[in-house]
Amino acid sequence: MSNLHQAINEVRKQAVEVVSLRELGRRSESGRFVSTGLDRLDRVLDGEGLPAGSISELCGPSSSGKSSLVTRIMADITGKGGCVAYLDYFDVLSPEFLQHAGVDLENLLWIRGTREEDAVFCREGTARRAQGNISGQVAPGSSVFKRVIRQVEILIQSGNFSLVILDLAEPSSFRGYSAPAVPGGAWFRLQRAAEKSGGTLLLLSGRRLSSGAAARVLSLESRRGLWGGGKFSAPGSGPAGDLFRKKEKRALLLGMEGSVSVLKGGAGGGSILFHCHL
Amino acid sequence: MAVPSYFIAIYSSGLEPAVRSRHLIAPVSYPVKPGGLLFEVDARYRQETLEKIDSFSLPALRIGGAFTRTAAVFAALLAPGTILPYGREKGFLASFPLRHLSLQEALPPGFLDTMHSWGIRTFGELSAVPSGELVARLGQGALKLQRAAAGEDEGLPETLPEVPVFREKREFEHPIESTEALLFPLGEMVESVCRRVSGSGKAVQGIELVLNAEDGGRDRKKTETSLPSRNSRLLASLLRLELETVALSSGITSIEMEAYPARARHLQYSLLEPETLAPEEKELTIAMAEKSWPESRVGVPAVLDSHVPDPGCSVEWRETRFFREKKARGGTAGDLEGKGNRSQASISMALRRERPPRPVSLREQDIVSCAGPWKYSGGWWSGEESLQSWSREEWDVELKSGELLRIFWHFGESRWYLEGVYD
Repeated sequence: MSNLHQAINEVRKQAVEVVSLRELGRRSESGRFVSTGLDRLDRVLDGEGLPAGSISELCGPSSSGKSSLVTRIMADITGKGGCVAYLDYFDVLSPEFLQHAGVDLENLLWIRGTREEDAVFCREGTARRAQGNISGQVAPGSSVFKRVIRQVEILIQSGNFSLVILDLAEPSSFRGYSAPAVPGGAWFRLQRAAEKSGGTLLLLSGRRLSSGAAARVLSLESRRGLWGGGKFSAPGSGPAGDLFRKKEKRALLLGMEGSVSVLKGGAGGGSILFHCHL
Repeated sequence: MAVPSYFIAIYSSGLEPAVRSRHLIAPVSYPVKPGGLLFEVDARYRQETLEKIDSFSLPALRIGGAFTRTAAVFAALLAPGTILPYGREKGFLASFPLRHLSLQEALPPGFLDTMHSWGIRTFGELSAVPSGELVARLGQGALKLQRAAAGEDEGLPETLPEVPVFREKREFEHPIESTEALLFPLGEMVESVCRRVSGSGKAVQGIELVLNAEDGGRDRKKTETSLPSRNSRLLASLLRLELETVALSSGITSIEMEAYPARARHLQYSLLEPETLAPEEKELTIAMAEKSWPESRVGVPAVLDSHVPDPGCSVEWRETRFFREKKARGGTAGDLEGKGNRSQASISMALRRERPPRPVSLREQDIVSCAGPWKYSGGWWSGEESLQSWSREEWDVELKSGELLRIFWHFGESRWYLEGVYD
């Protein structure tokens, strides 16, 4: 046996444990779940919902229904008396819509980001993309990055919240930039924190961010808006009339139709259609 | 030889500092009607006591002193600033109208009328009436009033419940240069003060910390708990978070700490509820969250009863039910299993707001469907230039990209704004 092999064997003996990412993902499932409040979705997700003690990710473009789905989950949890922490990075949450959806606002802790933070965070990401870093990853030493991770870590570790939501999804495509990706190591750090405390982290993102650390990844897609009433020409007035002159106007926006597919975890990559209503 | 006591009565609209620090003014004090404070001091040190009272700069101060409690109070109320020498009480009070007797004593019904019918109108005239005759006609109660009119004390004074002050002070041999090193003495001080507060049957509502620097600077930090607590670990952690914001310009030579006691809370948890998390845990979590991201706003969302655009806001979490109860349900996922209605629920659409609304330029060919307009204005009554006024036309539009937007035309600025995205 060469010295190298001997050394490797020695390391193996001394190593506490070497686990694969897949194994790590399996271990994170503590056997408890956070229900989404939707039977059909819970069935697709192993029958019970989002696994506690792990990270789940909900990603999709603007108007794909991810916020509506999260609102439904929040309504379910807060309605049962649980507490939810929402780290609203881009400050996009609308309390009146949450209230309308049945979320018990007094059981929700809202941590709002500031425009300055947002600008710094996104400038860093945009600058890195310009420099050839395709993913636009923020440097691990970035103070903003550290704060986000630290904040989430505190909330998860406390064990006070049934669900901690980290919303890093861009408010709209009109911003011209997106939130930069957080280095993969950070997600594993949060995954370990969740595993240790039994907390559940739900990550909301425009595109997939959590690399391999998430136990469940759901991808949402927008199908179409649901419009009510008959079609009629829009007379409009002034400049508004100019924009919509040749359009067929509808009486009312009723809601939207979307689909959600399970990209990772769950009972075999199912997909379901859902409707949201205003 | 025993030195007689001297009594100093004070009345002021801002008596609170004197009440809190009365042990600094005089070791013995009593409450007196109506809402005053009476100090009992060694007669030799009345001058010093008066100087200490003066140092509090109490507003609208009325002060009086005498060798009896009764005379001191009457002096403060009827002739503020009077400091009576020994044996002058009766003579001082003699000329005051008899109705002022009600300032200290409850007068029986018809007492003043009877006195008037007898031709007795002043304190002096009442005190001159033979006691036996007075008791024979009006009973023992009249004797008490006669003594009060003569400036004599009756019985023992009513004692004021002690308001304990919980202070700790540590002076260091060498100045401490880093906040981390301060944590050791701080932890010990918090523990000590908690033990004392706990011993008095109370809990700590807040702690004020004063850091005295070598260069003469003083840094004050104050932390408060939402609910009174005796948990020294929690209080030390909250103070540590406060200290993290301190930038030491020079070494710390001493620390002073004062704890504010409050009634301890009594919670009765149900035996049938799952094990709960202490409110202190939540307090600490949120305090840490606030400190780790100081510029952010941490609170509970609230919908204001207003018709202004975007009426939602976040409110101080301490004021809400989020903190005060619901600990029983505050646990993690497993605690919630099996509760609630799992029927096929509907999903309400959410709006992701742009704060503030973002100016956008849309092209007609990008729009698939639209609904509107909803004309919407308000705040015009505040004046044309007011920032509070708005006038807009709202539309819901669907773009070819699949985005569902809420946009509005701003009449004042004649441009389109994106209010939010339905998501």
